[in-house]
Amino acid sequence: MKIAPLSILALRSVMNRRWSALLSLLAIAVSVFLFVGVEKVREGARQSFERTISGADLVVGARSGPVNLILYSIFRIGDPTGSISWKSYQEIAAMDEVAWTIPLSLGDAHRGFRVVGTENTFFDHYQYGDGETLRFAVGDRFTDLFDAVIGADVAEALGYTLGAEIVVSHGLGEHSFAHHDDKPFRVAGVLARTGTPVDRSVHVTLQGVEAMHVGWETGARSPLASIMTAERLRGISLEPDEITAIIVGLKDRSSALAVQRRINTMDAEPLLAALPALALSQLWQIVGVVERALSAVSACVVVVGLIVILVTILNGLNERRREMAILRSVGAGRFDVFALLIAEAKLLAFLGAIAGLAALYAALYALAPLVRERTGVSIDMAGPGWFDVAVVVGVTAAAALLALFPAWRNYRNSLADGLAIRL
Amino acid sequence: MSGEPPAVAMRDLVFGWGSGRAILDIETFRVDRGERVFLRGPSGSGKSTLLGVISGVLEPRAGEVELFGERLGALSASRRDRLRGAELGVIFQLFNLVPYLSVTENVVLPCRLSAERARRVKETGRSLDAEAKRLLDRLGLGAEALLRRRVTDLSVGQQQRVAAARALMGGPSLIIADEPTSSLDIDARERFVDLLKEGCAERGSALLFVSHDTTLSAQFDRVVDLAAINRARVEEAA
Repeated sequence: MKIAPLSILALRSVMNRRWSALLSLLAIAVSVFLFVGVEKVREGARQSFERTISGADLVVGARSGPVNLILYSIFRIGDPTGSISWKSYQEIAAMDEVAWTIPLSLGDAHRGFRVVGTENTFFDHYQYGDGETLRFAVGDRFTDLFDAVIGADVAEALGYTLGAEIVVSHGLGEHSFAHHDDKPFRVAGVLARTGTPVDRSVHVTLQGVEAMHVGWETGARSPLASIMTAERLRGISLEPDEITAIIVGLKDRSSALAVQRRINTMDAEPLLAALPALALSQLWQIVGVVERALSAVSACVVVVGLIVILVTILNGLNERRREMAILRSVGAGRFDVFALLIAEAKLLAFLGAIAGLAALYAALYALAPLVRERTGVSIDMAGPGWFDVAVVVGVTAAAALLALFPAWRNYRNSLADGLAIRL
Repeated sequence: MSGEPPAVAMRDLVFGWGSGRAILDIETFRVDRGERVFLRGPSGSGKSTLLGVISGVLEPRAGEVELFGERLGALSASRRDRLRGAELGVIFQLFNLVPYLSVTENVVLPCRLSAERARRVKETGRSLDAEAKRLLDRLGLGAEALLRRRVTDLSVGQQQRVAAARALMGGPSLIIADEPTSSLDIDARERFVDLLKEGCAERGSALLFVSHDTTLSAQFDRVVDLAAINRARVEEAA
C-alpha cells in the first residue's frame, strides 16, 4: 500500500515539472545513446571484420606488415604496397601442402567500387561468416575474357543487371580521368549479399585485367592500346606478369606455420604470408586503444548526464518544501519523502536510458545502409542484448545512488520544517 | 464524555529547536473526543510548532503527548507517521493542495497513504472517488467542471474547501486547522467554519481550530488562549 502510491506521486510530480525533467531526461538519453552507440559500432565493426574471411589459412602479398596486407587484400582498405610475380604465384600454388589458391589483382576501380582481378577459384573457395560460400543471385561465373561478376551493393547502387557494360577506370580514385573505355566488361553474374567487402567489389578475370592494360604499361594510354582491340585480345594468351595478393587454402591446417615460413623465406622476391586470424588480432590490439578511449569518453558523458539529474532535483528542493509538508501531513513518513526523490531520480534515469536506446536503434536502422555503403561495415548486425539491459539497470542504479544526496537534504528539510509551510 | 482516552492530552511539554531556548512550555492541554476547541494565539506564538508536536512530526524536548491514549514518545517515528495518516486531518492557512494532482486525487490522497483510512471509506460501501465526490459536494464543490480544473486554478476559498474535504476523507478522529480562514473574506469564513463543523460532526471527529481571529471563537465548545497556557511565551513577555 506504501510503495505504489509513492511511485505514482513521483511520476506525477515529475510530470508537473516536465520541462526541467525533460531536459535532464534528454541529458541521460544523449549520454546513453553515445555510450551504447560506441559499443554497438565497435561490436558491429568487429563482427563485420571477423565475418569477412573464414576458411583461408594464409594470405600472401608483397612484404609489408600483416595488418596492412590483410587490410588491402581482404578488406579493400588502403592501397596495395607491392606485387607478387606470376612465377612466385605458380610456385606457391604448386606446393604440396596447398589445396587451393585465389589470386587477387587490385588497383583499378569502377565508379568508386574496387575492381578485383581473380579466377573462378574465387567462387569455389572464398568463404565468409561461419564458412558460408559465395552464391549467385543471378548469372554465373566467368566464361569469357571480359566477363565481370559484381557484388550485391554494386548491383544495387549502380542498377546493373546481367549484360550491363562496365568501363574500368585506371587507378583507385573515385573520380579517375583515365578510363579503359575501349575494353568494357560485361556483367555475367551478380553475387548474393554477404555483408563483406565482396558486396562492394567488381570481380573480373585476371586475363581481362591484363588485356585491359595492354598498351598502358607506362600508366597512360599508348597507340598500342587502340590496335589491340578486344576481339584481337581474345585470340592471344594473356598471362599476367604480377598479381597483388593470394588467398591460400591448405590441405592440412597444421602445416600453416611451415608453409608461412617457406613463403616468407622464398629467395626469388620478398614476400609475406600472414595468418588472417593473427593479423586480425593484431589489428584489434591497435584499434583497442582508440576503442577504450572512446568508451571512456562516452562513459564520462553518462556521468555528466547523471549529474544533470542530480542538479535538477537539488534545484527543485527548496520550492518543494511545501509539497513535502503537505505529503507529511497526510501521512507520508519521513522516509517516504526520502524515497520519493530516489524514485524520481530512478524514473528519470530509466526513461532517459530507454529513450536513448530507442533513438540509437532508430539511428542505427536508418544509417546502417549509408555506413555500409561508405565503409563496408555492417553496424546493424548487433541487435539489443544483455549489454543494453545492463546499461539501463546500471544507469538507473547510479541515479538512485547519486539521488541519496538530495534525498537526504530533503529528509533533513522535512524534519526541520515539520508541518510548518515556508511560504 | 465517554470513558475513552481524549483525542489530545499534553503534560509538561517543552519544545525548542536544537539546544536553543524553549518555544513551548505547556503544563497541560487537552482536546476531548468530538470536542471543538478554538486555540487562539497571535502569529509567531508557536501555534504551528504546537501542531507539529501534536501531529508527531516534531519531537518535544520533555513532557508527554498522548493521541487517543497512545503516548507519542513511546512510538517509533514510522508508527507516529502511520497514526497521523490514520487519525489526523490537517488544513493549513494556504497552499494545501499538491499542485500536480487533480481535485479528486488531492482529496483521495490520505487514503492512498493510509490503509486504515481507505478501509474506513470502504466500510461505508462507497468507492474512494465517490466518497471524495460526496465530501466535495457537501462543501459546495460538486460541479463536474470544477473537479477537472487544475487545483492551482481554483480560488483560495475553493482550495481551502478542497483541503477540508481531504482532511475529512476517511474519517480521521482529529481535524487540525491552522489559520484555515485567514485568506478568506468575512462571509466565507463563517460559512467555512460551519461546513467544517458539519463534516466533523458526521463522524464525531474532534476539531482543533487555531486562529488569531477571535470573531470565530463563538462557534466552538471551548476557547483556549495559547499565550495563557504557554509558560515559555509568558516568561518572555514579562
